[in-house]
Amino acid sequence: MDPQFEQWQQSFQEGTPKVDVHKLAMQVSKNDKREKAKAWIDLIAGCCVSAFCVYFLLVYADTTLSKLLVATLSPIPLAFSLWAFRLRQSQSIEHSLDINQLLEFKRKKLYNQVYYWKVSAIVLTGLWLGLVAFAGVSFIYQVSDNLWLTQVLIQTIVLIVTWGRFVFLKKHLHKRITAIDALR
Amino acid sequence: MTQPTRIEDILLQYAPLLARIAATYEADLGLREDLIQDISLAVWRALETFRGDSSVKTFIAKVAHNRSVDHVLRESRRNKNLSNESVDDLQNLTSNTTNQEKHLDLMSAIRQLALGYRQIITMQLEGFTQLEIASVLGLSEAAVAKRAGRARQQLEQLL
Repeated sequence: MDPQFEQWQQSFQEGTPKVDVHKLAMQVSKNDKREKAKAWIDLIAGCCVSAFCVYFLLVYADTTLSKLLVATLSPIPLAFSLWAFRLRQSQSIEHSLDINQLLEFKRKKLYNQVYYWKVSAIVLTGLWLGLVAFAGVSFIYQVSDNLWLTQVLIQTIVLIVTWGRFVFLKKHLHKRITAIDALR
Repeated sequence: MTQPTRIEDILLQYAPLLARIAATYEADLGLREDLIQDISLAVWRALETFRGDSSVKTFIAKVAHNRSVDHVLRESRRNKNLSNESVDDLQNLTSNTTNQEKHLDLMSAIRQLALGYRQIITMQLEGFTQLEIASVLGLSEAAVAKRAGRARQQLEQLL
């Protein structure tokens, strides 16, 4: 190795910022526990929602249609929570360190994120329309069952949030892609 | 051995490496500390799935650089200009010969390199061979040598 590079190496090593290792270790441990706790809370929340759906199915759902609907919906919170739990727990695959490949991966991740929210918004819209239809039928036949109306109201909030998220991500996509491309 | 102690063992050995890598991506002291914490947590969690297909140092360097690039992307979205130095750092880019300023000069100069060049020169300064760098980056040794040559030229101009 040439003398100049050796000098740079020495200078580089001597310029190492000071780190309080003990404090850093405590912070890392605390953050790690917090992340794990969040993962477990997600999972437990999903289990609780699914359990509530099953309880509702067994105790309150009296028509075949309502039983079918609740039975179809009840595994979804658990499935989603399991997916989120595994995502949080699993380690991100450390891709190749080459900057261009890493930045390309991040570009694709952004596009996938927008696509995911678009699909979620469309699926939820379909579900919402179905619920509105059932609520309408209940209203027309004056069925004294507020279940459908309650579901529509809750689903409306979820739908607004989902579409809002999709619109936000779509709007900022170009700026984020530009920021990535600027680093190439 | 308790978990904080195990983390401490890892950090005792590799915290300087993480701190140097963070310093090549972030000039601001407060943000750099956050970055070091972020990198340390990522390293700690990633080590659970380390398969031993590279050296621990290489694996940790890979995690550190990945996290640092994420940091750069996040900060650039906040419209912070990371390629420009703070006023204090710029004032230190002089021909003064004290060791502290030389360190700052080198780090400041490295921060001004494009990310691809910054990676290579940083890994070389950490003692990785071109063959090791090539296997980590998924590039040929010739490509690494070429980039290393350009990185060095740019660094010489900046210094």
